[in-house]
Amino acid sequence: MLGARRVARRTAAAAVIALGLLSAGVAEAGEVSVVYNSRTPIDYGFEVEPHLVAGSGPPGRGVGSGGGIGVRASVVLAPDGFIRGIDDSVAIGFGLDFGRFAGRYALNDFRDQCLHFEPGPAGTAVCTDVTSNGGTYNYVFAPVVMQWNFWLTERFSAFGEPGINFYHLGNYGYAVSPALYLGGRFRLADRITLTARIGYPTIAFGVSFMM
Amino acid sequence: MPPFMRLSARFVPVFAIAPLFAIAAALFSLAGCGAGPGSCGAGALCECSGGTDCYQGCADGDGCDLLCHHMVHCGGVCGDGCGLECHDVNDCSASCGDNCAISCHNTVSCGAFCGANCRYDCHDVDRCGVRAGPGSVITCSAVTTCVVECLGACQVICNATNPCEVSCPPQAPQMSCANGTIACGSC
Repeated sequence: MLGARRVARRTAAAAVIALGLLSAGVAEAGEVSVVYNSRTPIDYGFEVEPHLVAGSGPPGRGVGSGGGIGVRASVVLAPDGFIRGIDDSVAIGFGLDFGRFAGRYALNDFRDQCLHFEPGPAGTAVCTDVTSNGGTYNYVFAPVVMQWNFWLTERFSAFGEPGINFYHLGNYGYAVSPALYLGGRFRLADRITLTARIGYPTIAFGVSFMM
Repeated sequence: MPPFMRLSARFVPVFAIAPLFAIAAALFSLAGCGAGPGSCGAGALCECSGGTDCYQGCADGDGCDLLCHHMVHCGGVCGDGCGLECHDVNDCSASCGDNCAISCHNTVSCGAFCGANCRYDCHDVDRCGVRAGPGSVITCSAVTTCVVECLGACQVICNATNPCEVSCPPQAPQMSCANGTIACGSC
């Protein structure tokens, strides 16, 4: 009991210290002024973002969790965005992501799937091969999204990305699923940001280059 | 200015991207283990129920007991000496090697491939289709349509089943036995 309280106190203290350091780091990074009613802090028309992707519960027949690599290219359509008085901008984003998912890394339990059916007597279909350990599934995702950016400070921006996701899964062919992401950028240099997004069907972490 | 901001912009991309590609390469190198199909171990009963689909396999190849019930589609794939059972599903599938015991009941359809010395029991089913190896015994009870393809000498017992279709190979011609059994080869 005493040990648990000590751990809780230490955890709380660590959280406070981490928050303080993060705040100090942001302050030291300078220019924490919130951007109102101006164009984007980074004047760009095209963004390319190589990234790592990860996800769980992919669309279609695939199961499990996995990761991969990809790239997102976004073209700014409306530098002044939709809302007056807020520094927003709108872009259209096209992605290409490769992801390998494995059933054995599923967040919940997995089931094997039939890989091959053969016609049997009396019009039946007989499964003659199944996956092992939930199987592995190679996806190619091609999301097309509307990227709505909010330039919060000189260094931070956030965005939402609703859209659709075209994908190809191994032997199962092509299909479409909805796509929805929320993300943020931290400006590393003049035209370079760290970019992260969470959503469905993947999360991503990468670096954006603004041109 | 923080130290990281002193990095020249032309160096940042290299530092930023190189780890991404390294991690990605590691991810793609994660290959699946090369064991047999399925995830069930020999000797243990592997049961699957609920949901829509479940297809089990015997990771050890032979000697698995696979059971599935109360779902839409299910099936089992196994080598020799296996037990497969399914019931209360729409479509049940079984693929097995030699010396298997398969039971399928209270389903819409049962389909099976099994090797030599197969014991296949099908009852209270709409369609039952079996392709079995030599030495097999197939029983259809209360089945609307039972179709059996024997690949060698075998026996087919049909009760309250119409039609009961049996096909035999040329070397083991079909014959009707005294006890009502249909046989390929000898009774």
